Amino acid sequence: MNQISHLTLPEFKIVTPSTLREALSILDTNNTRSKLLAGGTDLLVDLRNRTINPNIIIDLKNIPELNELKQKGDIFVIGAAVPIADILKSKEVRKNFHSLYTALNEMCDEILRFRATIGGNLGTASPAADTAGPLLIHRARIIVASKKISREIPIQEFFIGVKQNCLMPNEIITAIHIPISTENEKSVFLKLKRNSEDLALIGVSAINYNSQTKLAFTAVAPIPILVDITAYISGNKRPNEEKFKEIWKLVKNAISPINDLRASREYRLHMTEILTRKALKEVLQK
Amino acid sequence: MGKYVGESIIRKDALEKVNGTATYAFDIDNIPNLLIGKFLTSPYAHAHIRSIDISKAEKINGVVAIVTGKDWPVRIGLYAGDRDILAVDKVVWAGQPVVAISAESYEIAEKALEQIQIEYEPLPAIIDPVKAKLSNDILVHEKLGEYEHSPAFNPIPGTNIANHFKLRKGNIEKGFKESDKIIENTFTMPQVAHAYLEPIVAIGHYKRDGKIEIWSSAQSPFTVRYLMGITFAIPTSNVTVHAPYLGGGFGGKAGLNYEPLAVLLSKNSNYRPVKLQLTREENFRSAPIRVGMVAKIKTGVKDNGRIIAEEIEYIWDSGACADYAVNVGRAGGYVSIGPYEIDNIKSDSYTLYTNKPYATAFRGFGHMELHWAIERQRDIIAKNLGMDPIALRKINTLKAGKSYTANQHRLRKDAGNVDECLEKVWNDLKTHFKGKIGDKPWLFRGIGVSCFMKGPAQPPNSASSAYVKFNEDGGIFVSVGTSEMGQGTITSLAQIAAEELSIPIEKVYIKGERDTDRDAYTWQTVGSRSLFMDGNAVRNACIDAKHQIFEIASQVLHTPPYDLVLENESIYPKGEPWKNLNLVDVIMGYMFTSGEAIGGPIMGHGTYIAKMTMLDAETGAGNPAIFETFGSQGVEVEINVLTGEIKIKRLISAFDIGKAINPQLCESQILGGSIMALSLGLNEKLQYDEKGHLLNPNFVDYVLTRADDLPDEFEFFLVENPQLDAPFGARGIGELTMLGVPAAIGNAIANAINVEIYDTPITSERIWYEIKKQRPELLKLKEEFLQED
Ligand SMILES: Cc1cc2nc3c(=O)[nH]c(=O)nc-3n(C[C@H](O)[C@H](O)[C@H](O)COP(=O)(O)OP(=O)(O)OC[C@H]3O[C@@H](n4cnc5c(N)ncnc54)[C@H](O)[C@@H]3O)c2cc1C
Repeated sequence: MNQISHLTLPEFKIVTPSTLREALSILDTNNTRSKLLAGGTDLLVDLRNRTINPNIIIDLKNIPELNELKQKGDIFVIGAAVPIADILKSKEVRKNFHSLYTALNEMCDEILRFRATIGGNLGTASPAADTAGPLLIHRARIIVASKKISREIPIQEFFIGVKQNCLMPNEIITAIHIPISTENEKSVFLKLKRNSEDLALIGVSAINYNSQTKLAFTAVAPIPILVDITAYISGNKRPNEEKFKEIWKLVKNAISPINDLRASREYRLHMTEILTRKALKEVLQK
Repeated sequence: MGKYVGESIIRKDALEKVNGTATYAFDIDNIPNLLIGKFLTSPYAHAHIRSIDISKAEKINGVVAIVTGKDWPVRIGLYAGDRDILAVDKVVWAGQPVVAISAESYEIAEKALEQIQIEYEPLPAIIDPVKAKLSNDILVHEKLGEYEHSPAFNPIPGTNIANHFKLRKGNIEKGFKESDKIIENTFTMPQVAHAYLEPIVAIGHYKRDGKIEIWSSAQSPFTVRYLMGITFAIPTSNVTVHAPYLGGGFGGKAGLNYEPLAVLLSKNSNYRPVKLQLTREENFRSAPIRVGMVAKIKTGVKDNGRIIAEEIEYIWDSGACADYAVNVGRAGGYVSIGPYEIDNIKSDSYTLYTNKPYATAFRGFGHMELHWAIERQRDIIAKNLGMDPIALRKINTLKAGKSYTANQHRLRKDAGNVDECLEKVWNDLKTHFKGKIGDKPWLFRGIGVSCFMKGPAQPPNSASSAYVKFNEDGGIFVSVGTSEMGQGTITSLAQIAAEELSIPIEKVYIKGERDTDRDAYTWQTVGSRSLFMDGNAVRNACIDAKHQIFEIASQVLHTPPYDLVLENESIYPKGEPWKNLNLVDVIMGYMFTSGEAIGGPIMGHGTYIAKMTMLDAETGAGNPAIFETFGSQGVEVEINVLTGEIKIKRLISAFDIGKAINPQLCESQILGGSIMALSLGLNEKLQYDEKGHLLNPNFVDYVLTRADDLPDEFEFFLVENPQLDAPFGARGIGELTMLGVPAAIGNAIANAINVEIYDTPITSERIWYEIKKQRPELLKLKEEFLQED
């Protein structure tokens, strides 16, 4: 195949359903030839590079169910197609999910955040997906619909490989549900970047709630990784150096950073350790 | 002096650019019968072309022409004709255009490109410039000896050396023998991209009558015109080049780039015009880039800080073609030691071919790279001697009237003063510096400076011209040849005209778009030369117009021309302003009450030509430049030793520019240039795999500094020691604004944590790596970090 830098997009039909039912039924009949479109910040790149070649593109932006952003009891609902810029305006998100708020605030750049969505971030399922770590530590559930059934997928079951998730070809993510903790919860998201607007070279998330402490790592393994370190922490206090070394051993065994043009494996490992220290500092007491 | 010169006049192109009506080559699509062009590139860095099969592509509806290298096998280039328009027998870099197509639409062109089959026979490629110099096993250009080149250059056939420049002064062995210490280091800078906003665009129209018309994002439309005439074997006068506003150039659009291919396509497309517009990836892979540098420096120094000997080898990685990079090597060669005076020098500057994208001019023209090496070396010498780096510099800096960069040529008496710049920067840094201890134990602060110099690297007969034409309302139209690519020169040139003719700046009209048929000639828009060269030409044109005006007015006012004054749009005898004649009554010809008329429309013309010499082939002796601008830059940095992260807290600059014609434009240049240098110093690098494929042809992985990465504080000083043959004393500043930044950062890091950096980009990872190597104990602070409040 000749290497061509395209200026054009391939030919496709675009449909803009206004109900979820309509979208699901179009998807059901065309699922091998179609692609879902939310903000398009991943999809357009793939189209231009010809890594995908759909006949039909189903635009999800006009579907009301995918645009909800509200509290329902002790759950917070984020519609899969809500632009990140809008999520950032939510006071509840800012208050309840500090790590998610930080991750969203640092994603892409200011212009792309007007378009990009969490649904799309999960749809792409990149190992470096910035929302993955915070969603893991906040125990999110991914709400998925197909023509016949709906189901809820716990976030830790969602990612199955590099840019692979467990969605069926006829399924659409409608929303993300995140439990609002009544406890005094502290969370953090830290991202290693090469400049102020970069993809994550490493993402480290941490949470401490209800005497449980968890860490999540992105961009250092084929899929986002959740590590429960509750057993190493007592009284919401920072571990001493010895305990930290045990935690780090656990983490190090769970991750497998690569060498690439963005950073060496060695630097990624070192920085994962430093960011883990920093994350624990922020969610635990001295 | 100065109603207009020295004032921050609003840019002449401000309104158009702010409201979006300014036209760029990218915007032009309203030429009748315009076709689009697109090319297929080589996937190999080095390979023979076995066969090209276009039979399937040809049949696609809407494909108008398909051309290959054999259709016009003329080698092009500015100083060295070493580049095929399309690869002829072999490809020399991955990304080199091999087949090009013209079509009715992009969809058709892209489809057709998919159908073309090229068979290659891959050859081993040479990627590393140091290896390219040491070994002749792999030659990028076997036929180097047959290529044409300008006599100022010295390619060595049978090797990969595109140019070897020598600088010799004194006796280097004796110098080292008499030295108390000898310090040797190697410094590097990688190849980088210009990263201008507007990718390269060329529209070519080869007409039935044999004339060529071109619209191009070209910095040097007159050079494009000249070289196009040669390429297509037609008279220069049959070529017209339009260069609209440029969306940035930085040297990347200085030479001849895709104009020949657009014209070749047009020629084979039934004489229909063809537009080639590169995508960002194509621009990265197939358009010219900046040289990489490897500098080996050996310095001999006395215990008192006097540098007495310096031996240097510069290797410039020029990629597959060296059309402009031979001159980068030459300029880097004659400035070798930076703004210093050293008695014994031996410097060899080699421009090397490798199988990578080809290099051209880049803002700074080798000087940012060489000052990275020289100025890091100066600080390392000072550390070795236990001396203050500022004091060490001052002992050695080049002073007016002294032997100039080893060329045995004396620096002009009215040259700038590097010491004055250095003092300003250093005093400012020192005054604000609160010490090395940061807010946290793992945060360290440091300050560092560097000095530098640069003049325009142009041929000795480089010339400029201008004309000034009066209109009925007393307004003037100023025509120059220099391109407007954001630097603002046209505004300064308008100020010079307003000042010289004493007319309101609002009445001075000057365009940013160039048309080689109508505009006054200039050699090129490069090297920070335009204000000086074109500025002198504009001034001379205004003086010429004034002579013509006085000639007429003297007959009306019965006063000899030499006793007349032109001021505020009126002409009067010296000392008698009430005997005035309105300028508007003169400029289109003066009519007496009788109806008899004299004179005619006023049109002044002026020229300026460089005052330089050829350089001696064995020693480099001679006068290489019309001026040298001197400067100094400094930074305060904060380093997190646990992560390697670096923050630039303050960035201070000082330049001896003779005269700031427009201080605000100077400030814009300083901000733009120093941020560009910051980005280059900290982030930028074209990365290749071992086979020569570019790995980061996009702005995700070609990392640039973003708005949030900027220093907290910028400060600058404009030193004004005027140069007497410059327009109002002004020297160029455009490129100077970058030259000292990377070295100042390197020096500040050494000052903060006593870790030496030898290579750029100075990424966090690199700093961490060097800390681990040079001061591993600092990383222990991570334990304290976890427990701290
Ligand atoms: C310059 C740039 C910078 C970026 N920076 C970052 C960054 O810092 N961090 C980061 O994590 N990402 C980054 N990205 C990637 C991208 O912006 C994010 O992944 C974003 O969240 C994608 O959302 P979107 O709505 O644009 O998705 P789209 O492009 O519309 O879709 C992405 C994929 O998800 C599928 N999809 C979309 N919606 C649904 C749904 N409801 N159900 C099922 N599948 C769905 C699509 O079919 C597609 O395969 C960057 C991208 C670019 C171009």
